[in-house]
Amino acid sequence: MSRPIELVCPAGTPAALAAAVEAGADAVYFGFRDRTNARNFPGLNFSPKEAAEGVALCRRHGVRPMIAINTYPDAGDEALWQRAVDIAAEAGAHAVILCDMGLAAYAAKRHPDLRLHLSVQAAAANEHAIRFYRDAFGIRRVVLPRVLTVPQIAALTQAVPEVETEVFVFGGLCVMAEGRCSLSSYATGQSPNKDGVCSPASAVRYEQEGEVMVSRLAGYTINRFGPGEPAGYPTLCKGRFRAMNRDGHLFEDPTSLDASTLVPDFARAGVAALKIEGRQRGKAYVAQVVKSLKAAIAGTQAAAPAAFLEGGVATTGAYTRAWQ
Amino acid sequence: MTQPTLALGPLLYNWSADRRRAFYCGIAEDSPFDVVYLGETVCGKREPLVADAMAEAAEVLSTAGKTVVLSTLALAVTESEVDALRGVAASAGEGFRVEANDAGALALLAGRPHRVGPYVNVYNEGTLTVLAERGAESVCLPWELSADSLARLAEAAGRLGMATEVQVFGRAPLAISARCYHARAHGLSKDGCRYVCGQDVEGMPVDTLDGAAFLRVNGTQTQADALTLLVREVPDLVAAGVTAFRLSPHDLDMGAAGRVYADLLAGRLDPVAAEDALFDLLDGRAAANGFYHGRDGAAWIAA
Amino acid sequence: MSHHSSAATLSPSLIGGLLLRPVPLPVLRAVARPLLTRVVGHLAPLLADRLSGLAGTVAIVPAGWPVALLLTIGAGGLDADVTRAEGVEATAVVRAPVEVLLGMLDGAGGLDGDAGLFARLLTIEGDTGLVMALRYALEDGGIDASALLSRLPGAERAVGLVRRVHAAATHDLAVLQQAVVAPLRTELARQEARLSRLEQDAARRRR
Repeated sequence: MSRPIELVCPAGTPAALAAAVEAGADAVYFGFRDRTNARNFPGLNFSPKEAAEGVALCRRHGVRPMIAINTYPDAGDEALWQRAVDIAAEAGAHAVILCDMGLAAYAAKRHPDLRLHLSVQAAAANEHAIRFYRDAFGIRRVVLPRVLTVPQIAALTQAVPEVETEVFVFGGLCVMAEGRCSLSSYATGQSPNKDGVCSPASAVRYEQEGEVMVSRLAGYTINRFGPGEPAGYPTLCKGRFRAMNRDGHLFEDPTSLDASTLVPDFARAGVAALKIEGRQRGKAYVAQVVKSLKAAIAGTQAAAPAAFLEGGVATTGAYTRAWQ
Repeated sequence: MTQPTLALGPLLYNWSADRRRAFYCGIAEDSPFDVVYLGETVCGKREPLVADAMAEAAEVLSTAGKTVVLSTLALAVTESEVDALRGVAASAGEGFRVEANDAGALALLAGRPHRVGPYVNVYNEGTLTVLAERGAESVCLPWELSADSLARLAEAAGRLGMATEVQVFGRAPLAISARCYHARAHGLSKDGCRYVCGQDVEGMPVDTLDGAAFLRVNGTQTQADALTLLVREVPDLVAAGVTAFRLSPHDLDMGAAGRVYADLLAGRLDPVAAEDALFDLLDGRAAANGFYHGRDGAAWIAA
Repeated sequence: MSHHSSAATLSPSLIGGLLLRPVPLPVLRAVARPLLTRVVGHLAPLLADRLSGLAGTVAIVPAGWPVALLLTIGAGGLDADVTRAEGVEATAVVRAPVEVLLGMLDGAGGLDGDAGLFARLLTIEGDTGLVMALRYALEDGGIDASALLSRLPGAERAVGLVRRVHAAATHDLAVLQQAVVAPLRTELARQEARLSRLEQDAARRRR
């Protein structure tokens, strides 16, 4: 291994960014307060000024700032996304994380020195797909979709050695191939790919029926949690539905990814970086999860509190074949 | 302006070999489709069991004068899936037409004429330009685009010398996963799935806890329950420069559905009559056109 | 109530509730207003940017307390008031034991809002989007709950209790649930009873 595995940490606000830096992040990723990133939630994210300050703070502490511009520009509205790339480049971001081919072409041409990382939203799941983005746009790193097993990750990393691989190690778990899911768009009209939001809070309603909590998305009942039953995000893929005359979590139980026990396997697989999901999370999450993952990388296992997990339950997801 | 063409998309469901033979014979004998897409796009495990039937279908359709195009897997992850991808891409060098459904296929087909399928995220003109530069001749736009996006992209594709296909009939695939939900619902794993997805000819219905029809599970794919139906919208799409219209195979008289669209495009049937005729063919299936109208995909915006 | 008891039996929210219960609303308002005005004066500029374009009132109801905090977001910035918890009406209502509410403002050491929801330690009714935006704004505004509370009599002890309960939470979530959720359950049961009374009344009137 040429250098230790890098821990890439989320920041939804400058306060969370500071918490990540404080907790020992090697890199921090964040996005602008608009449709150009996949956590476009009201009140969250960075203004251009905050982004520039965030980059400066990271630089002072030897942390690599990465800016996520990881949604798909609308036809006729590409300027918004292109401006985001320009702002990130001017701010001195270590890399931009993007998924759209058109935007990647723009970034590669306009900012030839800017480091491009392929977002998980591109769901590049095989060696040929990674080569496509390398050949077309010169991407330097790919964030792998959460559909691969550890041996598959090792094979991919070996197959395209010029492109670093980054994998999710902790946090929310998309059970669908990322960037190729319009479940939320079908129910709410707001698109994860175009609008940067899955299960938008504005479409979510919780109702208490006594001690039972019912969650609805755009009017569809998507879950009922019994008294004291741990809950998850109001996303469709973690919803409870009726199929074959049975009610249940058809796609996935409310659960979060925790692959901290697999850190040594990722290192052996040649993975360059581990990513923590959760730009929508609070400082408390960022600080505690970053610390526990740093410990895991250093070889001293320290589990993050179960309270931070959806449903209070962890899974290693697709990294283990049996999950599929 | 040349007359738009009609295409039958790849079969998304895991129909038996016999059902496939009968279906494609029917399409070959009596349907107005100019282009028929074959090839497994959902799950690589299904392919070996129906390979002979699909080879026969390709033969029969070609003989009947249809243009046959092979579509690649939407999500190729495992070694065997990637091998399948390489195999289909290689056939492009042997005179077959191929439609790429992921960036991996695009890489394998670069520099050779090929088509781009609806699973490739084409949302803007910049992406169309990248694709055109690498040899794409046509693009089938994703389901979730609105009228405005479709029109802009059709116009841009025209400028780039590409054909534009829009999907006007079928349950929209909403997601694809490494996990098989059909197997999971039957208490099985993907590796030991016993091909349970074959039990549902149009996917497994998924209702909300309130009993409202909502989604369909089709193996690793999740589809809308409501069938996207664009009919009244077709004249505007033609005017915007859309050159082909695609219907997705369902367990109904697809030849008849194709004829309705052919009559609509030829001006033999007005949009309202065409919509009525298609509703008859839908036989109680819910319809949706929300994506086109910039709404939630499940919505039906009446005239 | 003994001071050496475990977190499970020690319920600071209950103590707080009892302390507050006999105080008539106008008196409470008179006491709270100056403090709220100062707090809002400090907060508003910090939050304005993140809350721009949003409007509505978020009621924060500490479970078991007879009073609720009302935060009104709008073109005029931010305003705060107190009101009766019973039958509170707002664009969104957040209910949680006070320990949980404070814990979420406790920066790096506590739980975050998502964790609170996962563990069913809080409920949100109404406009979820507004609550989320307020949460992000408050967090980025760097609200120091301890500093705010130190201006309230007896609050230091409450903050100490909060810390202890949260220390327990990181070890065993069940302990926290037991310790703090009981008042929330009572609260919900009371809401439910009230609703059913209202429904019965309405039904009677229709007859």
